[in-house]
Amino acid sequence: MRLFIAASPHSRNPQDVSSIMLNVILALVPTSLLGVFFFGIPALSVIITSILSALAFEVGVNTLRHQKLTIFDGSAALTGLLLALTLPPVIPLWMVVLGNGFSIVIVKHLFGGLGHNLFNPALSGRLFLSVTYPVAMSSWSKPSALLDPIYISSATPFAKESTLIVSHWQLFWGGVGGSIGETSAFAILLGAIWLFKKGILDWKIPGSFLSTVFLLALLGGQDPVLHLLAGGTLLGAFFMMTDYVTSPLTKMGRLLYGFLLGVLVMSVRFFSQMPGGLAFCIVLMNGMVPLLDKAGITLHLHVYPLIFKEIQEK
Amino acid sequence: MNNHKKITGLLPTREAPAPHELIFPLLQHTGRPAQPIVNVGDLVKVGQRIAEATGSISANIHSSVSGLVTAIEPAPYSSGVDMMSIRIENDHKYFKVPMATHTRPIKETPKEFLLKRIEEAGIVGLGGEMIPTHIKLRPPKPITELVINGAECEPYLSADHRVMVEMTKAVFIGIEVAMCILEPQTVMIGIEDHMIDAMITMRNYALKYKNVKVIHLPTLYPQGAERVLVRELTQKRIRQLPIEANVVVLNVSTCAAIGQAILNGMPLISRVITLSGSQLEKSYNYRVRLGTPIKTLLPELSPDRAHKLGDLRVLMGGPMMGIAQYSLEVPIIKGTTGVLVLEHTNYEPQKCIRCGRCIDHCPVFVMPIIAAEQGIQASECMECGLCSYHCPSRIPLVEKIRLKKIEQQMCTINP
Ligand code: SF4
Ligand code: SF4
Repeated sequence: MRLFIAASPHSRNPQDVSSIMLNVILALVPTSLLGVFFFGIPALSVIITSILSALAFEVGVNTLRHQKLTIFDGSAALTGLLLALTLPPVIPLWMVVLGNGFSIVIVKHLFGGLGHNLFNPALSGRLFLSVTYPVAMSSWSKPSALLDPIYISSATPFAKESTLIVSHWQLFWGGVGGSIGETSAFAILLGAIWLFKKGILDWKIPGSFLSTVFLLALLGGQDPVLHLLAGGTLLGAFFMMTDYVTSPLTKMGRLLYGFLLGVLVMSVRFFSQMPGGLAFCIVLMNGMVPLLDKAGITLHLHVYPLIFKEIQEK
Repeated sequence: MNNHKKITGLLPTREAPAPHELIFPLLQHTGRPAQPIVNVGDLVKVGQRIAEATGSISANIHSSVSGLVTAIEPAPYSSGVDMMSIRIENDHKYFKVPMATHTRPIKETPKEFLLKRIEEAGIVGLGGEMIPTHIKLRPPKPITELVINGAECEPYLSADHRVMVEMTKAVFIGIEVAMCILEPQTVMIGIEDHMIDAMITMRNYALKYKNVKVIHLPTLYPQGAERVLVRELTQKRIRQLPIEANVVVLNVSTCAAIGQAILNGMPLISRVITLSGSQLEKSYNYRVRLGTPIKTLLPELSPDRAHKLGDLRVLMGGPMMGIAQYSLEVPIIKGTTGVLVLEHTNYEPQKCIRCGRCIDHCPVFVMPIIAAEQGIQASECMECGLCSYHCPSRIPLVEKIRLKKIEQQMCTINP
């Protein structure tokens, strides 16, 4: 028997970094499965290539930086999976590897590794690819012919006004053209609910973002439900914006972040036809996070106690 | 958070085994250490005063056994450094000093008399904060609310729970005394809702009193922290001490000690503690004599049986705010709420992943990671431990905030 001394507290919440990452990966399983279901084997190979190459790059960087291996914290695998979900299913696999290299090596590790990266690695990788290979990145394939062909459109619903022929139901259940992960709102919501239950997902960013989008769409005279369900809005809201490292730290900062993102995304959607505009907006906003942190601290000190009485642990 | 209250919550209090040698540290309260008034070789009796308060904030200390004073020397102490202490050898005869009982109704007793008795009995806050009670009962301004803390929010601990169930009368005498001294408009007793039996007993007893309300609180750590409790019950926000908002907070065990001191003239020589933890086979609620070294209570950790055990943390207090002990010689003091034996886990801190959980969970609106790095709001932290508990990167936030506080205090002393 040995007696140890250490500072209080003497017990910890069992949920540590790797279990959080694992839970987020689990929450993305329905989305990935539906992606594979709709787009077939190409989607599966994109997902697998992406995860494996992300892990490989992580190991490579760890070796170069003489660090302990960090692949077991799950963050690299998560980056790989998230990147895959934003890609079109028919993309050449070497591009997937390249995108992951950009994500892991440049965006994540050159900035200092997990916890220090300013930009969301998965989204930056996707943007890198869409800037470098615009053609491959916008070749959206048709979902497999299992589905009723009437509902199938071959572009993401926002690409052109004229192709807006999908129904809300279809957007909800899946089967719309687009990247692997954005077809089914249902699967994404399922994952989000799981994360919410686990206490991993905080409502503030998705809440303020989605309500801003909804209200602005309403004000702009467009279909608000369409705006919520299509174009990867939900994937972005629940899995991309809420990335811990690249979102603001304070509660007020998060509310503000969601709101500003909503405004930005809607102005892109109203005034330009850029496909994948959401990814641009999020990465742009990531750059604002240090500023929002400062604002968030000030607001937390002076405004927060006036608005919220008490939010305590359950 | 699992509060582990089921282990001991319903176990009746037992008399703890008596040790052969007791250790009475001279500092069992906040303020100045008491001054010994016995010498080596003196014979003392149960309840005899062995050290006297010095200075404006201090408290008396009494012997809890009869026997021989063997030494006055530094001895192991629960804060982690040795403390000047009086060692007494127990003769197991328990001769008592005469104690004055009190039969007059409390309401007709002069305030000063009550305060004097409390002061003489050496009563301090038994919830762990150990502020001498007679100081608390002489507030610098009039009091509007008296809050009685029966929340006992720390996991594992159930000492206050048992006190409320088994010593209800003493608790209410104590409350009556405090009411008589402070003359508050309302008295609120806050009890966490997992202690159903305590709630029923206290509610029934409270019916006899006007303006005493028993309020049940959700079971949430840190419900029993003064600032959280006062905010929950009175809707007043305080930054440091309850007196800012004309509130006085007393723990239920403190009230029971006041009750006994007034009724039986019994000084504070014993208290109820919880002995529990994942590494112990049997858990108890014990009434222990102050000064009992914890090894007496932990036969499972004795050298001949301990080889089966791995790495341990022996805590005084709860798992969130308790102090890990370096020796099993450390005695139970007035502020010890429990002794826990938990397994030791080494947590490897990683980089902050900016998840914001520490901020979400802080009950007093501090931003722990910001306080730890930049010192903003560090002085408002009450060290409840929730931020470190929840940090997925295992960053020792409370430790860092403590360092910041010390740094800031140094800066204000010599700028
Ligand atoms: S900063 Fe941490 S230890 Fe301090 S009060 Fe807040 S949660 Fe508790
Ligand atoms: S809980 Fe830990 S990892 Fe999360 S923001 Fe606070 S310090 Fe950073």
